Amino acid sequence: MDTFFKLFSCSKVVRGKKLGAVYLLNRARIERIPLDVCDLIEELQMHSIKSVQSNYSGNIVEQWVQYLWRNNVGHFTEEPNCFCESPIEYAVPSIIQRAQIEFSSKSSYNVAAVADKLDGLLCKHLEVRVWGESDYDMLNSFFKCFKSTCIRSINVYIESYSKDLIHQDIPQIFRNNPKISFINVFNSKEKFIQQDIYTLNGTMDSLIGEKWDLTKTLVNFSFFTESLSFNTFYNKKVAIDKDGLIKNDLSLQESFGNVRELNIEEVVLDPFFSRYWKINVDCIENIKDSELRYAIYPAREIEKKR
Amino acid sequence: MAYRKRQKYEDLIAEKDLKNLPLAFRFLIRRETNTIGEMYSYVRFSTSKKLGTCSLNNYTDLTPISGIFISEEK
Amino acid sequence: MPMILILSHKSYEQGTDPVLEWLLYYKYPFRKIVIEDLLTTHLLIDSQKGEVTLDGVNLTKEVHTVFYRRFKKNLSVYNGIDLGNVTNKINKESNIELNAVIDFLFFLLKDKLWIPQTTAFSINKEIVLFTARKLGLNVPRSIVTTSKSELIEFKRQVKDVIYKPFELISYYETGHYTYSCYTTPLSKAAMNRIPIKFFPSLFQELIDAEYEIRIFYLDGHFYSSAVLRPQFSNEHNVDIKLDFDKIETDWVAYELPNEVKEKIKQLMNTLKLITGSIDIIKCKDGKYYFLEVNPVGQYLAPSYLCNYNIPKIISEWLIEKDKNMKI
Repeated sequence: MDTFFKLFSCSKVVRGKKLGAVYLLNRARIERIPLDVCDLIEELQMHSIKSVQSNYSGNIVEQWVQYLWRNNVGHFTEEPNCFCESPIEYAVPSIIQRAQIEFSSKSSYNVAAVADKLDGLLCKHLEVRVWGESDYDMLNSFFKCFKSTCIRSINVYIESYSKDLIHQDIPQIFRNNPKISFINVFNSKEKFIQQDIYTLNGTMDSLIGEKWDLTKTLVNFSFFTESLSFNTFYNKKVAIDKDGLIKNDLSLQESFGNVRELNIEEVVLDPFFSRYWKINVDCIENIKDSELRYAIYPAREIEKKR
Repeated sequence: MAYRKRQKYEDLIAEKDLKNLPLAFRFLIRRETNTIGEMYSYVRFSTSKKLGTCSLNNYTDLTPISGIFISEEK
Repeated sequence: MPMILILSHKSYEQGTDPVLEWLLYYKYPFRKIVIEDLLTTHLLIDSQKGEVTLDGVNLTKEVHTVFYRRFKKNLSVYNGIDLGNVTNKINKESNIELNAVIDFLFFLLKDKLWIPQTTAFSINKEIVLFTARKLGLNVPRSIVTTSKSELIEFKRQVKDVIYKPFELISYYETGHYTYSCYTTPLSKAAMNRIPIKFFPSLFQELIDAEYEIRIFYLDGHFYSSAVLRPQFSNEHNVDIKLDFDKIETDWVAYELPNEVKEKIKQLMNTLKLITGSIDIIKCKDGKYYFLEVNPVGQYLAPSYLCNYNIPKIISEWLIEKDKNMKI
């Protein structure tokens, strides 16, 4: 029986303009390869190694097959028809999957009402930025609103906290609210508090203001399949800034009204709000030619090319 | 067969007490609790009214929520 | 409006919530019930009418489909002063009482579409293998014995033998460490731990596997994953559960040959199982060996690693069936 070299179903080949790449989605790794090798891999999925070898001179096929095998891109088999591809559909049971909420003691919108609306949208992940001075009661009341919702994780950024109470209060908040994944407290000279609670010397403004590094890659099935069809920065996301303005992301200027006056559900279901959700990396000028594009989180405002 | 890993079996129960127990208790493997996925010891649980559970497992998303990235050096 | 009844545990059960999340997304009505609800909410079973009402919801009229994951468990119902043996007896008999109520409740809902059927909740492994063998599936040879000499003779016949618990040996947590029994290859060292006479035990021929296949089966559809150990490394555990977390283990989408699928469908129909998590071994000689089926097994890990999105598939199937059920 002839031997084939088959990709693992979690290995996905992507062609860029100049180079290709194999995304090892269950190993969080990318192997960059020449475009010719993308062609070679394609041939190998349909024909035996021996058959493909006959179309090439030298031992180039053998060398590449060994390289790919050693790097866990695929495996040898005599039953190629048994090994099929994994589906690449992205589907999550949420109308809004992720939300950002900005809050301060001066915010006048109703957090409990927002939490209720996000629960109705089956929101799963939340980022909370707390500006200005905060205290235990304020934070506790805030997080209490999300206690029985569908939320599965809350990432917390706190601008500042009293140095006399930080060691006592912040771990207590963390314990009281198991949905919290981590807490970052800025403007703090405190050393390590405990795991998942971080203190940072700098200001929240400066660290949050830094642009996301577009060379950073994220390699996993969920992100990959979402990237194929959607803009991972915009898709299924809503943001509420500290004045209650509804946005696609807190870094963006454009807003779609205020939560005090509008129903968040109606806003997010409006096609105008979600108009960029499907503008994926294949449509973005400075990313579309990159073989790494489906691992890039395009955390930038979209501008329509004139 | 030679390629199979050798296992070390733990004596959780004294020999004299094993007589009427299933053989399984002679072949117990010991692992650190927090390495066993099904023990969920590293998972935090909360509640969800909609799902009717007080045991909702919490996990982070694999897609970032925003453009914030704070490296370990910072 | 029809409704899906979900039977599960109050504590975390990984196969339940992901399906409910999809039912919420599709806005399809469901009601989740756990055993503790029978003690805390208003229950009425009217034998004359054959109707069950729980917390104001008439389950007999409203429910078309029952998605069963878990339900019965031993509750510690007596929390008073310790009466020694009497405490144990009170708890034991209270649970027997509660189980009798549950059995009657399930009986009155028997005409609903159950996934899986109540008869399948705890299926005997060896009965399944016996049935599978009769239907033409390859299954490992096995014996149940209390005698070491019988075991030695069996080993002589089949060469490599494993011991596996017949039904359930779970985890025994003692703080930092947890003990459990996995499928145990009977090496020389392992044989030395076995006395001359012992508890009735199941021993099976060890199949020389090329790889294992995990299948989530639902109503004639197969969602299969092959578990590939590294081809350039030999050290691995017989029981795949001990290698789950290893990055070198690759879970890949798999398509079973049609003749194997047909036999498995036949087996599932014979056992009256609409769904189950099935384990199969692909042997080095090319044969497929059926190992076991768990009607309420876990499916999330292979679903995630192969991107099958099984919770979505289950929810869509439940909704379709529920809508089409006529009471």
